[in-house]
Amino acid sequence: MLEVNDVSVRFGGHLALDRASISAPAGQITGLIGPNGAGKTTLFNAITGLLTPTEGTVVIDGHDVTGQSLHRRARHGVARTFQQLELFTMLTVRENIRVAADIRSRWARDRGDMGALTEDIIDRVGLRDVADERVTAIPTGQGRLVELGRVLACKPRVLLLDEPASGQDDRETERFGELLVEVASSGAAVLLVEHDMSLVMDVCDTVHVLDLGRMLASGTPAEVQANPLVLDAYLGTDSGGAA
Amino acid sequence: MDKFLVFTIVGLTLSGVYAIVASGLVLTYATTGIFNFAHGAIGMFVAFAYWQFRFGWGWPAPIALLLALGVLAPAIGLVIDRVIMRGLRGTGEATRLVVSISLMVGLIALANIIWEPSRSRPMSTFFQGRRIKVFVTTITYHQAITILVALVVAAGLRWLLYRTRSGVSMRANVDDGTLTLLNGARPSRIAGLSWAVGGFLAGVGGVLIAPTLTLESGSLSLLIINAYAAAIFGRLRSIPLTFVGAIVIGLTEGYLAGYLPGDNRYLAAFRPAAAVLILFVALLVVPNPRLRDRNHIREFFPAPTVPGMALMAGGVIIAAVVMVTTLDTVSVTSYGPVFSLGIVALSLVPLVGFAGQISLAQLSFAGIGALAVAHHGIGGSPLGLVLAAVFAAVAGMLVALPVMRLSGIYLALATAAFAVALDRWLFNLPDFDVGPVHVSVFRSGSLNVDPITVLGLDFDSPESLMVLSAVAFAAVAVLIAGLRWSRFGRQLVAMRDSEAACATFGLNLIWPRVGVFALSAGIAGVGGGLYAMQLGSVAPARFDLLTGLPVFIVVVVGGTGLVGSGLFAGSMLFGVLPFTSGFGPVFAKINSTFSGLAGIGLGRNPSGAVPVFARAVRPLRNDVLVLGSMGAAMAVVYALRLGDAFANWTFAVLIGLVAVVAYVAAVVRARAESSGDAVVADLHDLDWAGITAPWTPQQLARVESGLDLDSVRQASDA
Amino acid sequence: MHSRLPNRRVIAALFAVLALVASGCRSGDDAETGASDTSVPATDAGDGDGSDTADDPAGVGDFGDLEGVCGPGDAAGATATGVTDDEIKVGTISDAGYTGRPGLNQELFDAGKVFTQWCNDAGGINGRTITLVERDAKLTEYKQRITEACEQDFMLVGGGGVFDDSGQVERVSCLLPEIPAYQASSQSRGSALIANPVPPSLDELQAVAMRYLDERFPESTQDVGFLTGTFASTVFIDAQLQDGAADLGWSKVYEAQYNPAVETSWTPFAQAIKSAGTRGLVYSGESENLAALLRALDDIDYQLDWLLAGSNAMDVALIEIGGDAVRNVFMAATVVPSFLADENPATRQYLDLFEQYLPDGRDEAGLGYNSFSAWLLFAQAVKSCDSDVTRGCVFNAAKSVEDWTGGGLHAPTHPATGKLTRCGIIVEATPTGFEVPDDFEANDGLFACSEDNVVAVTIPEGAADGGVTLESVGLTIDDLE
Repeated sequence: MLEVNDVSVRFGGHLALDRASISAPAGQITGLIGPNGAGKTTLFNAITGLLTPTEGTVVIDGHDVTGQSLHRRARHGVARTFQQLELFTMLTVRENIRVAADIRSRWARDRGDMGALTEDIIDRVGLRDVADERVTAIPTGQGRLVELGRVLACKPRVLLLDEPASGQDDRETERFGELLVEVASSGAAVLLVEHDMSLVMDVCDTVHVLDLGRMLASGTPAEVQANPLVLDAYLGTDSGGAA
Repeated sequence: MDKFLVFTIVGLTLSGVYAIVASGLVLTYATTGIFNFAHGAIGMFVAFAYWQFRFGWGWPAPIALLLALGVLAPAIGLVIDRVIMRGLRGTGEATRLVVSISLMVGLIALANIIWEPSRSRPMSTFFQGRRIKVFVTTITYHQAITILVALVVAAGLRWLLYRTRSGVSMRANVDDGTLTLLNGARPSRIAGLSWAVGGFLAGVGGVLIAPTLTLESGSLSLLIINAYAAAIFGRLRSIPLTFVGAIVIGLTEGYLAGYLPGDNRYLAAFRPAAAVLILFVALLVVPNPRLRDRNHIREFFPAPTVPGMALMAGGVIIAAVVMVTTLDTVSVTSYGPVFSLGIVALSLVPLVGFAGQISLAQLSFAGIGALAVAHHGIGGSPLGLVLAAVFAAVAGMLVALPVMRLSGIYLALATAAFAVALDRWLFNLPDFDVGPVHVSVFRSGSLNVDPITVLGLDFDSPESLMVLSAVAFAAVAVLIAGLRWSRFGRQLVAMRDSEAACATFGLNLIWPRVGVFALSAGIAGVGGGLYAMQLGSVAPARFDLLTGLPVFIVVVVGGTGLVGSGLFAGSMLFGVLPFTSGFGPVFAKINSTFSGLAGIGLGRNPSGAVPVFARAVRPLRNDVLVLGSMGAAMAVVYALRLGDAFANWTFAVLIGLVAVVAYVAAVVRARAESSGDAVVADLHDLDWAGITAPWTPQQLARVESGLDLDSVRQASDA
Repeated sequence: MHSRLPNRRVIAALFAVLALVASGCRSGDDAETGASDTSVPATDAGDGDGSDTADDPAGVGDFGDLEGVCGPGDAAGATATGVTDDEIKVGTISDAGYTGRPGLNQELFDAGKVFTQWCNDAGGINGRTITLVERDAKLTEYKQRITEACEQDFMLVGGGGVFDDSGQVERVSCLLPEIPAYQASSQSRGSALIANPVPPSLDELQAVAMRYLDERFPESTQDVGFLTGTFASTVFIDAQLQDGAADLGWSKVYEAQYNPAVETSWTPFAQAIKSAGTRGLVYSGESENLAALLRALDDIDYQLDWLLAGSNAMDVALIEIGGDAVRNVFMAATVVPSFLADENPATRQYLDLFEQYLPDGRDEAGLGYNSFSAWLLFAQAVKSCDSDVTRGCVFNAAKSVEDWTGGGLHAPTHPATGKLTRCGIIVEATPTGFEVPDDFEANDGLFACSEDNVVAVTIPEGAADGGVTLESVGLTIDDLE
């Protein structure tokens, strides 16, 4: 569903991504882990079009979208959340989700009832209690759910989630994991960047490890956990350049 | 060839001044992230001060220079940083812009108070009369000094940025403020330094250019526009490229003066606009800026409510009716713009408040509307007003399309450039043809405007026009509220917060931006058309950039996202200020600084004045009984006034009295009611959270935002 | 909100030149007019009424060669709008409140204040005091002020608005006569019910200065340059001047327009003037810009044989800013300049009255003299109407004056026909001030008068729009009561 081939991103003299390749098949949750500054968010930005890769290609659902603008890529079915919440602060929880649904209805030939879709998603992500609150009035954990809700409203085929569990308590994380599994099982490809290892290990089918812009290891959660290179990257010399 | 050389030298001397001024601008922007619109005004102020020291009081030049450039100019920079700019962390781009624009307006007002503008202030150049022979021409000492100073500034800045510790920190600050923090430098010290140096450079530019021109506050402050173009060449970051830009612009102006045929009015008028057009072109080649993502925006504007809008629309119309029935014609005439220019103020609400875009050219669009009414509303034809909206919207689109991928400061500059191009060039052109279209502008300077006739009603008196404008104001206000409730409105508001997020949902950002720009320009056009009818005749001076800035400022001060801010701006600028200015020259002078001071104060309360006011009157609004009685009492007072039981002063005092009594009554009743209830856990009352009551999600959110966890995380990621 | 408008200088230039057009090169005049050429029919009656004044040895109520302009009397009756037993309300238009240039044409109000205070102190006109109503058009509210004046004022006297094209329909429709200090637009100049004490002209150009330069610098007239501001009004004058120059057989080698609002340097102009080999320059614009241009010319060490400026350049700012660079600058005046006060009693009296009544007033500004002349014309006319002060009587009296010098303030003019004056004074600006060049030959007091001083010019396109006539608003002169 999502294929990233040999993508490099250079900021001035700093190589943030060095020929990284990753794929996320439909119906699966693919984990992407790595220390701070490893280039995870940069990779997301390269996939969604927030920045242009120096080399390499990004293929979504069979379309090479490498040179395309953000909104075109989105129309191929990619959607993402942000490491730092990008909520619409002037709007309520419900309106946040509704905006995403409305935007989708403009480009997709989907003239369904956006109100109903919004309410459905509010229930699915469990935000019914705070649906009419301004998003700045809810804690970060719930803010993550709003972002997920917005993404779901776009009915994406590829979901990129950037540290969705940070700011959530254990109970919320657990519920979040269930939600992800549910989304993936409906046929979407989910790419998950997360620091919460237990979440990653619980829900991911495949895990990729990124360090210093390079792919370090790939495999099932268990394989990756046992990989000495990975242990070294996490525990050893954590050389954190700017991401 | 001689001629070429001569005008090359002419161009290079111009380049010198632009380079000095623009490099100061770039320095402050790059190190503090604040684009200082007041940069030219600082230069203007220092030039005035220098005139005062050197020529007003006759002090020796070295002492005057030392005081003006060595003390005053850096001090102004420092004070601006300490007192004003420091409070701006975490505010939106519009807010920051408004503060610096207000600073400009404020400095101009201050200069006009200190230095009575109708007097002429001769200022001689340095070493006046001395000159050096250079090849085929001569160059004065003053010009040589200008070029020399520019070179020294270039070398000095390089030394500062690369050879001193502070300079290295400044450069680091450009890339990443957090990085500087981690490196152990104090960003506040860096900011102070760069403001001081920026002020100094502005002052040097001002002192060098003022003697060759007229010492006049407005035009000196606006000369900066030419320097902005140079700064854009440097993409507001690179000082060497800024120097390149300054040279390009200076040479262009020099060659145009030398080679442009002088007998063609169209071309002759074009030359002064050249720098502005270069600015526009430079903006077109600026690389795509990063999409705005969420920064901790402190402003918040709730959506309008239906009762609120009904109250406002009704109130506006009632107020207009009361005004026309109690005031004499002269007063009605002078307060006419409250509603017509109020509409222009309203036009900023969807654009700036909802969409987070910036336009400094709203009054120029109003001018286009005025032109439409003058040319097509002959004999009272309503077509004029329709075309006012259409022409202005089309103009808005034409301006917006090429620069729409830009935002924030670039958009502000592009619209300012457009406004200045109109002021300096297009509005002054004789009639011309664009293909089959015949374009008429202001012809001899002022155009007659016929009052409109709608459905057989002639709006030919100031009274009827005021009521018409009020009705139009109410209609536009409702329209804008409707927009905010609509799907499109929600999208605009969403874009304001995070363009990046909207784009990742598949939204092509260009069209909503162009759409809201055109809508807003169209609204401004209608306001301009109504204003033109009230004036009866229109001249370009009514619609220029500097006249429009206070409208922008006061709308943002009111709280741009709120429909009420349009009313606030209209009634403050064209009601309260003219009224109080009538008390005497002292009041007029104080009032002249109003928009400047109000804008500068915005940093303290970025959500604006209207919410404060709304909060204050909430008890009254919620108390139907008191509100009803108040309305009835006011109606009685009004009836008595109509029956000539008393004059306007008594009327005004009585109305005020009724309002105060009602307010007090409502507050007392609200207290009485709430005292029985349990104390509601207040968001502001964090001290007791978790102790007397469990934490609420709202309180958690507040704690989080207070701790600024996100930026801590960001810093640690870096 | 009271922000300065950027094109303050633009407007200043605009206005200055408009004023210039208006009076066709106003000039000062002088005292040659010793005689009270003022043939207001009612002068005699006035003298009679004002006999108390006349008896006053100090000549209270006399101005220049006009006797008993103001004085006590027993006129009575509410004979017209704004007129009561003991008061006449008169409106004066100016643009002093224009925020872009505070105090623009303030001298119109100042001259009105001085005149009314002086006149009222002398007993008023036939005993009625004059109340001055300042109608501040603030540049762009001309039409609104006219509308207000229609309802409240007896007449408009001694004023003028830069954008006076906008209110003519209203003014003529409400039958409000005006005795203006200046008229800017062709619209205004073609409109009815105006008696201008120093009438302007559209199809004639005051060429006294050109004649003078032609004689004095015959060798430079084949290398003449023209420089003007970019605005319609200045371009209009420039076109007329070029037309006049062609009539005299001059040749043009340089022509340019500058934008008063935004010039960042005058050096390019100086260089261009030099490269074109310009020896004489005709300049239409504001005095401060002229000073800057002269300095730029001086900076590149280029010396023109002569520079011809409008009489608006007779401004102390030119000398203050231009300094030593002010050389060979000439202009023509139809109003006697204040530096000639010692040679011209009327000018001296004007300055003295300012000293007495309004010491801070703008006593040197040229338009003030025009304004004062308008007030004098008005007062003479009112006096002639005795008690029967109606708009019709006063307007007709003023409009029938055939020879007028404002008591000696300016060259002889013909308010009745509106013909351009045939007289002028040449003034030269020097680093130390203004003076009349030694070789200037006056033949009529301070003035040189000759039919040759006026040349016919074509009316530039667009300036020929007719004004507002009584017929065009469906009225006749008989409707004026």
